[in-house]
Amino acid sequence: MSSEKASRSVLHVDLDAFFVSVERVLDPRLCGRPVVVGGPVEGRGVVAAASYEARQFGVHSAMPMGQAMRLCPDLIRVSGTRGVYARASKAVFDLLGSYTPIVEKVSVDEAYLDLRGTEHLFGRALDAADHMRKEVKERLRLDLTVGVSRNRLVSKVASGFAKPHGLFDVRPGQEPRFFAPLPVKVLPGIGPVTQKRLRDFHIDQLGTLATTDGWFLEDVFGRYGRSMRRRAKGEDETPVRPPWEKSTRKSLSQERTFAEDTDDLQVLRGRLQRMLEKCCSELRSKGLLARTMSIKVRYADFTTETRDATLPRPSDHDLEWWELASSLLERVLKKRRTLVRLVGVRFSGLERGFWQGGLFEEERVVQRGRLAVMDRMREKYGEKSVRTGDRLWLRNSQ
Amino acid sequence: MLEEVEMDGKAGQFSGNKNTFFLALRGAPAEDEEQLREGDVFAITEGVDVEAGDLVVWWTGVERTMALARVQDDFSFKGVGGFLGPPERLSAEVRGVVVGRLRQFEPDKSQEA
Repeated sequence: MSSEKASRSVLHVDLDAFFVSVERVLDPRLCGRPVVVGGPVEGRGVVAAASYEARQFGVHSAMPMGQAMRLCPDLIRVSGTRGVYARASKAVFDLLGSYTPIVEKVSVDEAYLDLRGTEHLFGRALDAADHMRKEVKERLRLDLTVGVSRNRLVSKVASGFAKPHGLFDVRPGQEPRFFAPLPVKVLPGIGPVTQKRLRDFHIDQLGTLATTDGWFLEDVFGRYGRSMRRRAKGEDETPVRPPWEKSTRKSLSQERTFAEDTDDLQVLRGRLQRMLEKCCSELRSKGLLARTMSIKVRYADFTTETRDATLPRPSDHDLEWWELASSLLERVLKKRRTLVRLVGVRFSGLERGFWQGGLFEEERVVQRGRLAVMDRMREKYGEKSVRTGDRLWLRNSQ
Repeated sequence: MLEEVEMDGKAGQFSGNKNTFFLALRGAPAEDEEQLREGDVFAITEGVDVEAGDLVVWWTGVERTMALARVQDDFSFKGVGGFLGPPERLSAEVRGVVVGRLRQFEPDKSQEA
């Protein structure tokens, strides 16, 4: 494990019963009483948020207000004002931003923070989390629950443990042991259907899931099977992304329907390469990187096949993606039954950033320099002014 | 001292397994890099291999002898937070490995009606 990963400290922070807590700041008489924020019974309103006192009666969010009132006759309903919550949320996030610039807001009351590099300012993650929680309480009178660990996934589960108004710190290296006894449903992404399927195979706890053979899980759950196994061990490398690293676009794609259906491999490769280069050029011009690429092939009988691939690090480098695209296309066409009507390529998992070559990737760095030159030539003289590889086989009409 | 406690809520799921349990720290600990605090609750897993760097609970088989120690590179135990490491003359054994720590805070009473 790299020292960067070993020293990484990710916090998951969650404001306890946020809407209700804000209402209690505005009207302290609501403290210690069962309170819900939501619409009126007569308007068929639902519960938007419930205090912990109300939850003890079985009241929870999204429940019809009428049902909530029946479960807890002393329930106090507050209509709530959205603008107030937005202002309170902004005040909390402004404060969190003074601890680290790497804050990823997940919702109005939930965020991830990466504390890398802040040790000299605020001490270890546990100290910083403690201080943060106290400051939010003292300055804004709101309760914060915090999960601390080396990654987002474990911190998210840990904060669930600490609720309400607590802090749970998972020791580095103990992630698999922390997860092992927990029911599979605590893992984000495992819903009732997957849970039931896992139960069919007597997999109820994360420890069992983590030690189940990867090939078996892949067989039952497809690609998700292996990632589920890694996550069951508490492994997660998803970075915390501050707003400026997030792309407003979710994906970028190109597809082409041929004027005549074809089975000419060189034409198919050429077309795919051309679309891939156009997408990568667009990524570069927008300062974006992609994590995942999908290729799509539609046959003359309208059957469609897609294949996905993910690079270990996000990229906008034509050649890195082309190596993958080329092998994916080969795999799809191996099963070809008929002529091809359409090919397409799609890039997803977009994030802001610039491609950076590794220390021993001199050739890739040189290639990347050439790509920048080609981008400028195409911008000046047109997209078809520079052709590469299999694109040479394409006629102007293709 | 360390005292075994039952947890409810989500944390209780952790102790639903026979190999896991919670210990609460009673009394003020000495300050050191483990940043222990009175009231801290440790999540412990027993019956697992111990590795250098692990924080462990050792005991002599009697609850009141439970203490926290860090496993050194040479696999000797160094007491933390004012706890002593196991003395040579005692036949101490590892009760479990600390996987996490829960710190809960009292809600602000001044706000309560």
